[in-house]
Amino acid sequence: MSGKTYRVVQYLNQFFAGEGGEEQAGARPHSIDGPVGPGRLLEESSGGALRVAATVICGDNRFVEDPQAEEELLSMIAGFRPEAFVAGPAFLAGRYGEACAELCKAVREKLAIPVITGLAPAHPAVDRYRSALRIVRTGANAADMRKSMPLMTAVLLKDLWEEELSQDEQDALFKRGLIENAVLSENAARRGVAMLLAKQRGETWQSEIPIPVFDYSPPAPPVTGQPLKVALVTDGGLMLRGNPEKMPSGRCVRYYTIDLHDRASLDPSWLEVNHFGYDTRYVAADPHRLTPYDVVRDLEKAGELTLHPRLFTLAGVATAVESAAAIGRGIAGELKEAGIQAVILTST
Amino acid sequence: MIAKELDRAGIPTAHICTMLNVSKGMGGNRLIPSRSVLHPTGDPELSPDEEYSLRLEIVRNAIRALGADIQAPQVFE
Repeated sequence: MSGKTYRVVQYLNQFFAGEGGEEQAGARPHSIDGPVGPGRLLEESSGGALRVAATVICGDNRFVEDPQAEEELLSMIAGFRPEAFVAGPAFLAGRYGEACAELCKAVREKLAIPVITGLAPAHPAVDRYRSALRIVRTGANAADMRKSMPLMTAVLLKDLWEEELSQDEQDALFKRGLIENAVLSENAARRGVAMLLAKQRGETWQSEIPIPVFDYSPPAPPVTGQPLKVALVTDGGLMLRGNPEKMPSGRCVRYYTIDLHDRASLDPSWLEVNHFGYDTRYVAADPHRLTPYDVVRDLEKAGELTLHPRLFTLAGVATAVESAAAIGRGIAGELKEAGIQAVILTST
Repeated sequence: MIAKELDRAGIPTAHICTMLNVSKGMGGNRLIPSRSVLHPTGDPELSPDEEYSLRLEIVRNAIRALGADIQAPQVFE
């Protein structure tokens, strides 16, 4: 610990910077001198040890769609000569969390300074970045800000001071899967033999090397030939007008279907979009912008494809990984039974 | 996740999306870049005819992906 005040740059999306919601999600990278919103809490919880020199901001869609955005942000961040970098916390926000994790990784690689971000356990970026980064485990939404921001501050300060984390601080982070050296009283040969004997006697024993479980599925074999039997699936929240099936606008635990019989096209007279994760105006105006029914139908008439008569849909935002897997298995079962060979899945 | 489970069940899945790395990280194998998070298979800036052509191109890519014999995740542009 020292009395020094460190220069920090913080990354926020358009929402947490107070610039607007989905209508501002296309905002280009830009910066504001000093702290904004969560940055004030960051400074406050550091007891004067951190000063937010600048806040860099980018719209959620801009970051994931514009390949230049990350580069622009990185040079902006470097320009402020920070001694540490804070992103978010992003809680369960999909695009924002991706941006936070990716920027933390890039900033640490390029500037070699301490970085920190915060994500909820169900965020898909957690598994991909946890081994590379310190990520504080947060609640699902901004209601957790008062709890997670001070934790991020505490962990970042320990990093800057080059001090070890307390047990509580370690527990607040996602496990990185790193192996720590430890000195044991018995050598490896004795421990190995003890394990073998315990196993032989049917006693409980524990390996010193946890076996990681990789859940990977290789690509399914290709399908060709005509007509190819396909189904359309989307997680963009398409539903029948009036929502008779009561599909929630996110956190779905099941999928829904839309009957396509005798439908010449998808249009707002009988469909609408319900999804709290993006600005749905464009796809609500023309749902073909979400799932290519018109094209697939024309290819069906041309004899290239046969389309499953129902469209599979859900609002795939803040959906827990386990729910998504169960939904995927459910759709797979139904499609197998219907003899469907392949799926065209669209995501927002 | 949905793409992964479909693949696991032996149903090849063409995933049209913007966040290709996310799909790949979650188990997507046949990845097709979409136009935008806000309108994956369309573009309100284009005329209806141009939009249809864009969509047809994306679906053609998807069909090509479904017929491709791949061993690891691949992007089809």
